Amino acid sequence: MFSSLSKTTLAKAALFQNAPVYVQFYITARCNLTCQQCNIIYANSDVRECTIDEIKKIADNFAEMGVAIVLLTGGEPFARKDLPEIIHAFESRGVHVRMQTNGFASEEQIVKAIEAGGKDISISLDSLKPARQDSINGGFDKSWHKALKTMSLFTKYLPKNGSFASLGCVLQPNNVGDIEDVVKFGSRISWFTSLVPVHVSEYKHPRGFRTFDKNLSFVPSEYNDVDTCIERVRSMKKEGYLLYDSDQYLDDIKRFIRKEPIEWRKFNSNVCDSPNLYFALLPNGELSPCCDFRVNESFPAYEDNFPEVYKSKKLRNAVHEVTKSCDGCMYGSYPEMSIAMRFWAAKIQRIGNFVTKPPKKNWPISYEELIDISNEILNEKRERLPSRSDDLKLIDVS
Amino acid sequence: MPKKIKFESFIYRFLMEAEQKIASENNKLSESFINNIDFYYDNKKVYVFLKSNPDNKISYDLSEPIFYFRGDTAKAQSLQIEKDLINKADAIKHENALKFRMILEDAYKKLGE
Repeated sequence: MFSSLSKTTLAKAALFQNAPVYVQFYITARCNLTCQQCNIIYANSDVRECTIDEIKKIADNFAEMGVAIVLLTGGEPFARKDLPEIIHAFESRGVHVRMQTNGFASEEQIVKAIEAGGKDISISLDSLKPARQDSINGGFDKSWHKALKTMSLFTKYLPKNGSFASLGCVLQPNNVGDIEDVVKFGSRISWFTSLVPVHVSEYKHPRGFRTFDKNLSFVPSEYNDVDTCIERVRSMKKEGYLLYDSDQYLDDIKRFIRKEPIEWRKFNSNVCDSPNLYFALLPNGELSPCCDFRVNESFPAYEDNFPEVYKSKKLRNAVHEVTKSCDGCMYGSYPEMSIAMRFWAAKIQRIGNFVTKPPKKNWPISYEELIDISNEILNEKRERLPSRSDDLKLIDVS
Repeated sequence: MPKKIKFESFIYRFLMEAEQKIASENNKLSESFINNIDFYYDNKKVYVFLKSNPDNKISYDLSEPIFYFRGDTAKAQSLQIEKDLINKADAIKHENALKFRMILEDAYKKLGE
């Protein structure tokens, strides 16, 4: 699935922890949902979007720098009408593209994205209960059904070999009891699941991705249920279920929801690996350390000298000014990238995931089959953990 | 109920400006102002007030900031060319930052602590 350029960078990063493996490119702030736990669509509203010509220059620079993976995210990446051109710009230069979507793309958009080279997709799914998902997505009717239809289309058009599909699942008080079901569902259809705990902030500390909704914070009486949830999915992973997250990352979720110090940064003086292993780009193409923070100076990645600027002390110092005082995050990819490059146990787990036992894909899977699988899992008789929103009535999905 | 996207964007940019102002030297703005502040939406306007004095409120038109300036279509690219935005420091971001600096100063002056 990865180009030789990407593989070389991954190897360098594993050895020296200093190669730009992963860039989150927020290609737009526009989105057609307003999910409870997401703030980034508001945080990045103030900048202009790059044009495709500027994005081609960014792709040139990334190829020169050896960036292995670019995540095209937003907002909703499919809200950009030129998404296929953007995908092609990176893939044709050997930079692997991962797309993140809320599942509202049309069949035509999906086909064009895959034809352009996009073979790595992540779709948001937080519950198998349609009403709950619709509520988490901001009160949009049928958004759960739309996500499943989109998943079905990806299983139809993605090649079985050389593709990767995953579910992005935000763990929050309203869906603790649904997490095992989501992991089971993903595994049944050969999609990995990746968990991210909800991030909440206050008015006095606005952070790009973090919601201001205090009601989404876990309270002490819920900590044990989260622990149980984490241990159950960890056991499921050992049994062969497709959970992407490492043991170190899962342990840190427990600490994070309690507001205790997290440990994935411990091999780097409790500072993350931005910009050495990863960084983010705003919709206007400027570098930022991550999705939560910006730097004061402007470092546009479309400028011809960006590969030199990326190595400069000026940029490194600007990013370090931000990262040195950050309490840390659990945004999936950043921690997992540091963990994979710095923890040997995690490296071995990753290799195990993709080299020794890649998932067998019984694709395509129709929308109706996905509904049936979801119902089967929901109807399994087993003890489920409580979620705060258990009073929500289930919509008949048949 | 879906959130009001421009309203939420206004809140975030306002608070970012306030955080930077509080962190800067020689500023009069204090953390208690931010701890006391709140917002509500009505008819394409955002209302800013202090929780300690909700009757004293000021409003700003949500069309004032330039939010979600597109770059993905031929029309959007033409507009960016026309406004001389491409391959340059982001003038939209800069204009918004100035706008929110003024809004913050105005709100602080009119609402006090």
